[in-house]
Amino acid sequence: MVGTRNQQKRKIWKTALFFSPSILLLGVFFIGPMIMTVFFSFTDISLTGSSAQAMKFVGFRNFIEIFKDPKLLTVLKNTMVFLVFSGIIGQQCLGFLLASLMRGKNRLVRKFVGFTVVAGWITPEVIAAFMFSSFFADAGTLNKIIGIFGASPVSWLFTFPMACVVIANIWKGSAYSMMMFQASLDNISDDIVEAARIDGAGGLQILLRITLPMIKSTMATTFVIVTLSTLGAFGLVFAMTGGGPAIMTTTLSIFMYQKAFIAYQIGYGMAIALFILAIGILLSLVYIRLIRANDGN
Amino acid sequence: MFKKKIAGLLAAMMCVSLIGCGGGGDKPADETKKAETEETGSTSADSDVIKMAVGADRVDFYRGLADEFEKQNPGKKVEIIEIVNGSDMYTKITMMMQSKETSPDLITEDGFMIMSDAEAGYLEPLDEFMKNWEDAGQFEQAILDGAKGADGVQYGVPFSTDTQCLWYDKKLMEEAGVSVPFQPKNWDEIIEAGKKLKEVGGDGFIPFFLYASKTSPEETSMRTFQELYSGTGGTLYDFDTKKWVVDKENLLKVYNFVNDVYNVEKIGAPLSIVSQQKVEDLFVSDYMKNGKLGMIFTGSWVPGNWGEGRTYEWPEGLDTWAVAKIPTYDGSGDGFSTMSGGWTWAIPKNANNKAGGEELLKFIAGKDCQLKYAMFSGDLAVRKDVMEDETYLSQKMSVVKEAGEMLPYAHFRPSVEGYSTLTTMFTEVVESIAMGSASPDDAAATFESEMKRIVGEENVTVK
Amino acid sequence: MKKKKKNLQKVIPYMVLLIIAGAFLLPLLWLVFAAFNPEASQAFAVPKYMSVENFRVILTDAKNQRGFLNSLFISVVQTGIVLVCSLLAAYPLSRYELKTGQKITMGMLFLTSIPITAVMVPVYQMFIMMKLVDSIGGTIIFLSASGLPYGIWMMKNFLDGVSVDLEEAAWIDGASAVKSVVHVVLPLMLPGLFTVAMFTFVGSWGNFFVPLILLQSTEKIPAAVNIYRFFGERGQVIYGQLAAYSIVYMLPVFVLYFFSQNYMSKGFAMTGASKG
Repeated sequence: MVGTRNQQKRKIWKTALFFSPSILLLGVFFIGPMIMTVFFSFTDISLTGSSAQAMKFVGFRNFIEIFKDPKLLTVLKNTMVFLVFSGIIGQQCLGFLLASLMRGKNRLVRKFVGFTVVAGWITPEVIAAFMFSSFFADAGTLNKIIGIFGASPVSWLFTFPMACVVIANIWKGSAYSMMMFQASLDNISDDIVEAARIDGAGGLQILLRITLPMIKSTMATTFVIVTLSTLGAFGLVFAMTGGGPAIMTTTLSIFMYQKAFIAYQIGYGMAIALFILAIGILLSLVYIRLIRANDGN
Repeated sequence: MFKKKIAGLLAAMMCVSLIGCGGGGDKPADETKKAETEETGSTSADSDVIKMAVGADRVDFYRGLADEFEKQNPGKKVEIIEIVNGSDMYTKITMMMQSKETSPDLITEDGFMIMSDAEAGYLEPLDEFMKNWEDAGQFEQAILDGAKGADGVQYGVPFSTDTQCLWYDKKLMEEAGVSVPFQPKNWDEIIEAGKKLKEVGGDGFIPFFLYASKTSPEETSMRTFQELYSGTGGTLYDFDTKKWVVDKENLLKVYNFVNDVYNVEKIGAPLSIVSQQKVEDLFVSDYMKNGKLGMIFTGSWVPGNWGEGRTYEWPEGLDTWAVAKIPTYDGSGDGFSTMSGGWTWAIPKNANNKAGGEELLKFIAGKDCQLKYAMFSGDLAVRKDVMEDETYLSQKMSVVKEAGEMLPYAHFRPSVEGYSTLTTMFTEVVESIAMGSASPDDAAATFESEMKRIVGEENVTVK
Repeated sequence: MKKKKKNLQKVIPYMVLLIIAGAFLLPLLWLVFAAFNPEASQAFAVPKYMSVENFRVILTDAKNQRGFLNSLFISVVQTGIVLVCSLLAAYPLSRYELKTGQKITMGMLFLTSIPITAVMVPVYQMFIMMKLVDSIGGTIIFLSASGLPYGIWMMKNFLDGVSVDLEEAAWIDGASAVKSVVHVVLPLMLPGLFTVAMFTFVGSWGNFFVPLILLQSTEKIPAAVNIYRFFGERGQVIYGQLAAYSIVYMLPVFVLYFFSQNYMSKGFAMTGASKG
């Protein structure tokens, strides 16, 4: 694409023009608050109490406080378990499985399955939480079901709290991955798949050689987005368990909320938020690296 | 070449927008102030509108009162701002009070937030108002004290309160061989009754429910830990030295009691119930109606749920359930003790129409409105003239009389700076005992080290 | 033998799909039963008798009606803004291979992992300065900005997957970039566009915390915030009405999904016809 100087200039202006609405919006309403968040994380700002009136600059105290907290290790472990099982293994794999199974299937079945999965996605968090509290309750749906097979009831939310919130989050979030994969699988034409099949390729080979490489960029996107949104997920778990029993389901974002809006230590809460951000960036970069590394092959 | 230029351009544009916003953080502060004063000028001239913020589930009720006020004061208009209930309620209301442009003129404030909101400079002192208000003498002193800041200044005018009681199932008690009316004189008698109840109860029966979970955080802190601790004669916060107190001897009394209930005598609830969300809902809707619960420490408002037309209607509820006063540890001191909470009216410092707010406050905290509120909510009244009122005392589904008798033994939460963090810790320690993961001694040690970590060693006295 | 195996191969995917669908339906049982049960509680129970009373109560409430209208307005406008802005920004990002631009966009995307609750305090203070508190317009703009990084990023990836051949043909014909976007790329992008729209709409429709903080007049409150009206001061919940309300609340998104699915397959057909 070697063009004349004029053409290049035109492209620059076009790009600038195309970008301007986004830059305006993001610059003022997104980056602005982010900068203030960073600033506040170095202060003792609080919603109430004396430091609400006169906040002080406290340097890195909030960040040091995070690492001094005896609960940090458990909270980190919870966050990772929640992320890996509900986000990556659960939502991503289930979403992909659904999308590839639904490809080329009967319209009615596609619609029906799609609706049931999407129902989870569009249920407001607080209601999903009630549904699952009821689902896992001692006299709840799940115990009634296993009762049919003669099993005695289990106190799910107390005995396996993390598994419960993981299942709830898979239910809530799989639709997103499913739709992303559906949209990108739709871009693969049947001709290619058919050609490969005629050449004698098996299902697995088609998956590895054709499907996966073609939807690689979608995979990267969904991986990043699912990771980031699972890290920030809060309402569902909070309403189901409050982070308990003890701190068995306290993830970083619940930890943040507890500090910022229950203990009203906004500054400390924001430091935790930045800590979450750092983890999110780190993980996203890892994915992107991994997918790029595959490009070489 | 071309790519570089685009990149440069983009970077430049980002910078411009960044600087624009970065500046927005601090520079226009005085501009805003100027704008605010102008704004104030215009709104305070509009003194006919009074903005009142109330909880969302009370909006219709207060609209009725506001209409009355508007009728009595022609030309005045009351605008109601509804605040959703739940833990985000405080976040919303404190943020609104931070600026003149968004501040209401009159708010309902949880008595428990007064100390820290006063310290934050959000609230207008009401000492002067109370001095000039002929109704001021109608309020119980103990309750007025609960609406003061740490500086002793009155910031709130109370309109409702509650007490913690020991609720028990009369029929089951009789079956278990405990004489009714039941009034324990010390904690041991509660445990004894629990043991007897356990013998008559079947599968899934809870002899004695004591909040002990992070899923009910403030309930565990207030209705279990602080309720019991207030009955040991110990104090949590010394208002004279302004220090938090670690009193191991009294802490151990509380922790041993929790341990006895859950682990030694096993008269508590299964932990799966304890850690359930909205557990009280389960009790008033099912357990209390169906003989699945023997005793519980909870508020005086319980029968409100069973009133006619309420969600869990059960008009005969009080034939089965009765209240007793909660005794102190060994019956010493006053003999009884209860934790009290309550709601107040307050005027934000940033209110644009303080005069209007005060005018509305006099009306809405007056006898008529308070009586209507008490009848509507089932809460305990705070004004003497309401407490003596025949309609109030003869309410069908309520124990206002019995619960009111506990008011002289009322204690309030020390909601000074640091409380909101400490209360989580109080809950966690109780939970760890109930779950069997900490012995009472471990718990007391954790209490001390956590308290020192949270508020700083220099702010703690160890007894 | 072979035919049987082939049949089995055809049936298994259907069975797996139906099992998953069944599993996804299970938790919804409580919601449906509770909505039609005038005495609903959190326990799982088949109602003694079916009643639409819960629906009648919530639908005839003027505040709820208003709330749904507000939500619809906010979400539709926000989705429109995000679609237009992200499509415009994603186009040069995808086609001109702007490495720096991509890095910046990715950086923005990372920033969205900060829980929105943490950002709301600064946002509120900023809104006070800009006199935007209690303004639906301001709320929409903030929601759009916070949805934009996702939007741009997703849009760019969909654009990457759309063939450039057709588009380049349009370029050579002398069509302007705008024209090539509208006539050539846009139809190919329908599945992507609808996915981004769904994503933005659902995010906005279910957003509770942002409008809670930024809006305060009763007549401006959207449906998500109104959910909390079913919770009493001491945590009591009116389960039946809450369930009925959630079902009504979920309907618009179902409708949207219904239509997007149709368009998605249309887009599929077109892509298939052009080139893989």
